[in-house]
Amino acid sequence: MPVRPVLRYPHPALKQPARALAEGEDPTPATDDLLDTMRSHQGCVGLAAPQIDAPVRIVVVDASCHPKARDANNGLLVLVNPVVVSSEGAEVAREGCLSIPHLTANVRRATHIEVEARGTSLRSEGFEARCLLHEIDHLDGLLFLDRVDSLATDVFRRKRSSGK
Amino acid sequence: MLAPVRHLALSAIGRDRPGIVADISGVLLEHSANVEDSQMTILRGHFAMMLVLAVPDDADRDLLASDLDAAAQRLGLEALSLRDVGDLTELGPDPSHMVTVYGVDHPGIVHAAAIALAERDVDITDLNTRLLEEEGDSLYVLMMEVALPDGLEPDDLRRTLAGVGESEGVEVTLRELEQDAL
Repeated sequence: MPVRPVLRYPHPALKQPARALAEGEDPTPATDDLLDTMRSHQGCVGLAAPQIDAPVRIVVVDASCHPKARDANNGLLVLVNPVVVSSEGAEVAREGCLSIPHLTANVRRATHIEVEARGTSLRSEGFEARCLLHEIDHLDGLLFLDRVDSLATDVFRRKRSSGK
Repeated sequence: MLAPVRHLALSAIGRDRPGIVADISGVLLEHSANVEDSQMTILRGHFAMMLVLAVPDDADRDLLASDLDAAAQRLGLEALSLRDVGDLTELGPDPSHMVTVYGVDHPGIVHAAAIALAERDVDITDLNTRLLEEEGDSLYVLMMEVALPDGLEPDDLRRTLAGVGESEGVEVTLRELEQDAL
């Protein structure tokens, strides 16, 4: 159950749609690696399997520790074959991604969603919903840059606290 | 009745520093030149400005030009140009879609995308590019707002652009612009 390297764009695996797990197929190996890898990155609230070079439809999200989601979260979520079945509202907010580490961007996302996944369904809102939508995008080979509205006003170089 | 005006195009670029807009706009004000549409931004450390000005018909255009040149000298600008432009009643088409292109930087990305659009008679109404280099990675991002001609289906254009993505090894997406009315 190792921490795996997180792929960075332009690694081609990030642009490939991931395959659904077959009925009865065990998600454990990829899931364990996803959780270990997510927890090894400070401030990381979600990760999708393609980011660790596992081309399957699994995402993990844990927004419970994040100040923006303290009042509205579902705790640790491990979702196999997640599908967004309904979405409402729209809000623009800043996102970053370990696979595009030097940029952040303002991205428009739904504010309230319903997600169905193997063995579960849930409602999510606000910051946690944003995380889920971002991670589920990875399963379709989509990065946040694919959803940005304006390069001039919505894409930012990530501020670096140390280094050059 | 409004006084008759004519239009001039002013463009300039120079190493960025505080005071460029203050100085140039001061000169324009002295000559009663009205800044109509303009866009100014920093491009890799250079401050670039493009303005369409309305000046009174009887304005001393040569004096305005020499005062602007003097300002360019003061500010250490690398280039400044002032040109007459005709009055246009058509202000250009409204953009309907957004094209996003990104990938590893190499020459030819902008041209490949632009020629594909031109061949389909698609009008680029706004274009920005950014080269992002960090720790040996070079990510090039190109974003355009475009107006599709009547009769061109977005899915047709999507297929054309997918070809650009393939030949250039870049990601290309076409999305409808959000046009929420609140």
